Amino acid sequence: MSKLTINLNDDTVELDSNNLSDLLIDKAPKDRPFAIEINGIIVPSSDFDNFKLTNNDRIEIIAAVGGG
Amino acid sequence: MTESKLSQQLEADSLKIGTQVYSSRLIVGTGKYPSEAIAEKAIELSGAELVTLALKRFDKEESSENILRPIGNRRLLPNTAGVLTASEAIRSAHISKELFQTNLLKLEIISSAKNLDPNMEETLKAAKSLSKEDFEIYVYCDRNIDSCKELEDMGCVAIMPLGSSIGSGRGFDNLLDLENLRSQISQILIVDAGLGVPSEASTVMEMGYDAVLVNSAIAKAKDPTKMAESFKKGVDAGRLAYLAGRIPVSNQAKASSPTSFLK
Repeated sequence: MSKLTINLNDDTVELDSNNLSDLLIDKAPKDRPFAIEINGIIVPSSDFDNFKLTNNDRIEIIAAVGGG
Repeated sequence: MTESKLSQQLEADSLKIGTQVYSSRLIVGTGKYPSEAIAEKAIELSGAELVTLALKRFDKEESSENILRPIGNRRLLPNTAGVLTASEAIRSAHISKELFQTNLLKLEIISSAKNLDPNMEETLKAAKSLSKEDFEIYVYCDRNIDSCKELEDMGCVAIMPLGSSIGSGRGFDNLLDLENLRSQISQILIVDAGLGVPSEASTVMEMGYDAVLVNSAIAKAKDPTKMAESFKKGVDAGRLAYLAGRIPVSNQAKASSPTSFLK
């Protein structure tokens, strides 16, 4: 398939695969929970494996940090 | 009173906030610690059972530390820190719920990135919307009685007025306001933000505040672990004094010894 262009945390990224799970293997944290928002909609973790990305999707990977 | 009797009395005095029950009345934040190891030790010595944390975009290059490690299995109170509007806060709340699988939420909407005092117009708007969902909202707010009452009426489980500006360590900008709030708000009241030393935590606990939330005063202290322990003692002492009941304040001397010699 042709390359896919998405926006990840405000950076433009080119992908070879349209599987969200492939992107997460490379970009998501391994040691802590995280949440995914695509085009402003939260994707439940149960949907990660089957979720297909499309061109120009805006993706946010969000994790916990210290805070008061 | 012996140390064990003191701890027994405090253990029996549990704190119920929404559906949750705590034996500790000190809530701690997890920001600004010099290291994960120091955070872990400080959180442990604080005795806190509820800890706050925040959300951030994950960046593989800069995110080597995992704040969840030092927190262990304590209950999480995710905040909406960094947001300026109700709609951002609502978005943050939904992400937190998915990420942490909790409906506990610290609603915090600041006025600007420099002025961290609460934006009450947006806070009230967000609280109104989120209270229609199943969130248990701990809300960071100003000391205005009307807005605090409004938040109470919306069903927020804890009203959290600021002592002084976030991270300032200034203590109280207006202790009288906090005292007035306690006399008029029956919901759980927690002083959030600005405390610098344990005596300030004691002061509000003596007044009948239900708990205090402390981050910078512990995390940025020269020795965060000692400061965590001292805040725990300050909160416990203040609570016990509140339960014991302060004597009426008098403008005149009242002798505790005989006032004449051998008569």
